[in-house]
Amino acid sequence: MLKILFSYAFRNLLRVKLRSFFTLFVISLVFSLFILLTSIAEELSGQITDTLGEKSIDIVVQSKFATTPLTSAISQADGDAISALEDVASATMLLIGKKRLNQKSSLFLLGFSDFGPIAKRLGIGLIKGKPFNPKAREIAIGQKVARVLNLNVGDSLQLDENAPYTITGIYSIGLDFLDASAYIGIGDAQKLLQRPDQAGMLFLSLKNPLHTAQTIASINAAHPKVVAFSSGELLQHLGSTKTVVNFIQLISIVTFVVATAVLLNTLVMTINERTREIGILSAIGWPRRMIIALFGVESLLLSFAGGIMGYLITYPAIWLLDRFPNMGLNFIPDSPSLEMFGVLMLACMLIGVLSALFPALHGTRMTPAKALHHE
Amino acid sequence: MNSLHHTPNLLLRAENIHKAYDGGLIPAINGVSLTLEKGKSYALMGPSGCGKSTLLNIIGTLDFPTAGTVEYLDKRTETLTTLHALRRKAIGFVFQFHHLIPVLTLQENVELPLLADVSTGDVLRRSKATALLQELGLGHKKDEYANRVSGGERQRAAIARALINDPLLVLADEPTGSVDSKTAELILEKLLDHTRNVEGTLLIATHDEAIARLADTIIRMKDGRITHVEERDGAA
Repeated sequence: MLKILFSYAFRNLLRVKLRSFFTLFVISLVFSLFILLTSIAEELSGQITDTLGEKSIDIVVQSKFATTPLTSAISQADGDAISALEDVASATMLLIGKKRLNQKSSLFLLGFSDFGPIAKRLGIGLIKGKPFNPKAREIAIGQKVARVLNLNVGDSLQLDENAPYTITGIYSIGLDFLDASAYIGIGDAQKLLQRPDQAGMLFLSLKNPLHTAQTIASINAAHPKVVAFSSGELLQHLGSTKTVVNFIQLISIVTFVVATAVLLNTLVMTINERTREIGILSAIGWPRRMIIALFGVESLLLSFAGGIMGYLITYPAIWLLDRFPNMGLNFIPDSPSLEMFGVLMLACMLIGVLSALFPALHGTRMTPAKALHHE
Repeated sequence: MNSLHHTPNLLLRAENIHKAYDGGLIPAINGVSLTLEKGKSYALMGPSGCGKSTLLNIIGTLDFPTAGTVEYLDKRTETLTTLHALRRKAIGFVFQFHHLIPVLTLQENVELPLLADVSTGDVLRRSKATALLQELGLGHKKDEYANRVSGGERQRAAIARALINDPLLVLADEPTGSVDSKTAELILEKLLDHTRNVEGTLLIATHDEAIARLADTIIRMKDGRITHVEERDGAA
């Protein structure tokens, strides 16, 4: 019975080939967009939380109401006082800013108070050259900067009107936004970014991580201009990043609504055209639920085919986006995850059922006699 | 024919059936009562628009009367919660224009009513459909799609679909209206054979006097009313 039901549904989809094709085409694109956007949102939030989450950094401090690390400003006095707390094993101050190199390109400057230990903790691996000396106008760059700007160890990088910086090493961490940065001593960063005696963020490792909550409470109580939180909560405190992630997720939901609307539209047309057929099936004794199931199968075939095609389309889409690094799309994943495929299949099922249910319920409401005479 | 007394062979009783469309503005049937007995064939005659098809639809539970009742084997149909089961198991409907599903083969079309019956297995369903198609001379066309065969072949397949459940009541609305005389003869022969074999009832709406004369009883309608009932002896 199921075989005939599926075969019947499949052949029905082939009745109006062009409509089925375009429905499938649009659904595939929409699903592909959904996967891409969700993956980007996951990658973005994942990179930020992963960066610190499992890297022995217990507490992050930034200025109150800062929406990005770029706008955060912690005074030297606050930074020094927090670093000197009894529970703090090590503290690293970071100043981030965007530095324009010329009319076409710019990069992120990451100025660290103590680059060695934090690089080790964050897993920033030296793939070429040696670490920079913060006292000798030296700089290290991420591998993406090296690739895009065609720079190598020993080359010079002009960042201000003074003598250029010498590139001593190329680093890789596997996180796009860090690989697209240059690393420098915090003193130089303060001068280059014209933010004297300031740090953007403060990373603390505690002697005893179990004291994290009480240390956070004491920092927040003693320093009203800053906010301290555990490293896992970083994303919640990066307002604009959170907004971007939320916005991407919102667009993902919209793509879902669009997919449902496209499928619903197709099903409404299909069922309206086949009202007489509904009358026939009803007249020969098919129960209403079976007729609804038939349209449900058609809808599910379309949505699952669209889902699978959409998933497959994502691979060439990612490949294509990766060819244009200058677009600034730094959070494109290497490939869509299998977990995402599972989510997509669940979504396909939901969309398929929802899209079929309304028109099928409506279409099977009339008497068989009326349906048989439907024009 | 119009009496309400109990008959041992009573299959269906329709009592004081009224049907009007558009909120009562267009009357189609005005107070029709009739009984149908097992083992008998009936021809329903009358000019176009006299209410034949509407009456067949109501008797076949494809439509509801505006007033009046229909009893099938002493059960009022409007009280049944599973009308579809009654249609599937007890009633075979033959439409004037076959109403086959074009994307299905003749075999699949004939199997359709049994698909909804979980108690019928795949093998039995297929063999019954194949046998019926062979009886109707369509054995060689069973795998053809319905939209690829002639009108006569479609109508024969529609007959097979109506009979696959061995229904006690077969309702045929101008079943030979769109086929040639040879096919018409085959169709009528099959319908009458079935009626005899299952001790069932055939009610056939027709314009054709010659076809009507094959039935045991001819019921004539005009303007939504039964005007004359003719019991015939020695019908086919």
